[in-house]
Amino acid sequence: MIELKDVQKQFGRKKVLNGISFTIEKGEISCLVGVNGVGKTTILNAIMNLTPIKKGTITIDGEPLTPELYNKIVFIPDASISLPHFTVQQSMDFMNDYYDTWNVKRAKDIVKFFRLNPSDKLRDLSKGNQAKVNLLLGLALDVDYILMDEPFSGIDIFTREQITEVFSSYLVEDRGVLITTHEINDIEHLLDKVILLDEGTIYKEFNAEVMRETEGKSVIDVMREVYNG
Amino acid sequence: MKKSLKSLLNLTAFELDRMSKFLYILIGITLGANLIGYIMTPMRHVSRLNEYMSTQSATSQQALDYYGTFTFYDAINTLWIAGPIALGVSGLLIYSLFIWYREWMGKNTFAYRLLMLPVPRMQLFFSKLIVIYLGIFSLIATQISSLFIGFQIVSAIVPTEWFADMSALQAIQENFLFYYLLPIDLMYFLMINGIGLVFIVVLFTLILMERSFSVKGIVMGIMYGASALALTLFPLFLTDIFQNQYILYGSETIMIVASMLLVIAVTSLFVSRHLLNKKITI
Amino acid sequence: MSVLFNKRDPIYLQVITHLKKQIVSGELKPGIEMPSRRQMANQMKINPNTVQRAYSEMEEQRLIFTEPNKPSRITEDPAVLNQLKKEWLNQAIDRFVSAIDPIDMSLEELLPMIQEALSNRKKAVK
Repeated sequence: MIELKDVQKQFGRKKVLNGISFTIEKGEISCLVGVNGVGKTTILNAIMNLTPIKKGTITIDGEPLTPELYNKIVFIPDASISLPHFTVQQSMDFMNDYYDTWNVKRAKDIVKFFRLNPSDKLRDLSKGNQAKVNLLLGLALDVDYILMDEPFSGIDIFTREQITEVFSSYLVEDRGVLITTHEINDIEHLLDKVILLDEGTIYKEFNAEVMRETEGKSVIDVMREVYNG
Repeated sequence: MKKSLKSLLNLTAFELDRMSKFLYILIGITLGANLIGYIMTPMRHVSRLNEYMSTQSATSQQALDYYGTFTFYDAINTLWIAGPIALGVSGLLIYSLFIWYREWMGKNTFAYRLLMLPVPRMQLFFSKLIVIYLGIFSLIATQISSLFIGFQIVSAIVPTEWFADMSALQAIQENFLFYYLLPIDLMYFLMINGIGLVFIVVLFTLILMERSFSVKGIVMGIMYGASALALTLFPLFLTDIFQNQYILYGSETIMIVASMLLVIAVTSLFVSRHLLNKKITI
Repeated sequence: MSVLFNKRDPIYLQVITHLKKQIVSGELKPGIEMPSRRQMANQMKINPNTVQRAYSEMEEQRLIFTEPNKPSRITEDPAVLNQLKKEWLNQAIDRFVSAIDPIDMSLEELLPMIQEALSNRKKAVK
């Protein structure tokens, strides 16, 4: 379980996160939703210790994050983070050099699934294929938790469909998944938990299926109420 | 322990590979410029002597009396030799900044990958530090080999009777630049490199301050750098402060400076570790 | 298998309805093995937890059964299957009746229309 307790963060005088608390469970797909980009990515960065927080605690299975835990929790940002002059294969080899949890077989499967060519250089790839490489480098790790920042932004519809398939595949099986998005439409049927953010606070946190069952509302319905109301 | 050593070696090899092109260019420029110097400088001298002989219908000895003999020192005391050294020093200095900033400013933000490696983050610091020093030593080694090749070239160009009998080593020792940069006097060599090492460690710390606190970090960095400089230099002014030049022996002053440098280095390492672990921002 | 889900009804219920329809129509024969929850989620492109919920609900209704360490199977119990068919018909008739309720028509008037609709449908399928 990833647990955030009263997390606060400021950029200069501007409060970006104003007491955020939530949990991410293994075997669940959770989604951070917010209309304005501010805050969502910061939360992921904070969980990964890529930006300091002012107050609050973040724990992974009860422990604060240590470098060793990067073998157990992976963050896939919304842009390519491997080196542009690397080939897909070199990017994978780099991961294999450092991560105990790099799974060569799984990596091969994902390369096949995404129809990537290992000898292609990253800088020559289309935006969609770069996004796929980015996913490949994260998903081939045998981790417990996966964080993904805007996995659907700025890519064509077919890539989007392929990436959507990942969420119902063995690639995320039994793992705790947290994604951020501002386009919920294509994926709302894939989600367990939805966390609605606005101006650094959590407006509402709910289970999508329970919401449909008890109130007959779709995730979009709830968002409309919260953000327009 | 063994695993973390392996990852440090991995990271260092990786950084070295990324630097290699830049280093090859510096080595190439050094060898190229030196070679031109080794050929041009003695040739000019020889042609001057020849010209004097033909226009003044003088003997070889008279020409020599007029222009003097040529020494290897004359060949290396030129911009062809000093230029590449200046270029190498400033190049590696700029590279010390570049080695960090490229991770954030590059086309892809590779800092994400590096900071999320399952290794202690100080390994990033050390791998970059080691690589800068490997660069420095590569250039020094290049310079040394170049000088010994150069001596052969120069002595082949200048006729024996015009070439002063001065060994390569003597010529190199007379050149103050080489006296400080090359391992001629071990004490000096260690000192210069020690100061250089502390300088780069402090520079890295300043970069991490900027990466952690941006504008505020620059102010912090300037203050930190200034205090480090003051701490290093103040023992040299102790005699002035106490208006007593007998208060310390020269060697004692050096010892104090050395221990100050050590304190600065250790402090900087701890500060850097804290920044990398707790304060750095993507 | 691509199922279009609506966004306001619980997806697990929509999955159950979809599977029930396949059982009633004979597409899923009694005793046949069900895909694992992972396979099913992947086929339907939905969350595996949702499939899990649908499966356990169906298990409770005895529509499927699971022996230890084996994949779930469709029930072979004729009573349960008959019950399902009856339930399905009842629901359809309920919907039909409430849909035509505003129009005042007798059963005698309706019967030929239903017969015609049925034969049209059979032709269309052929």
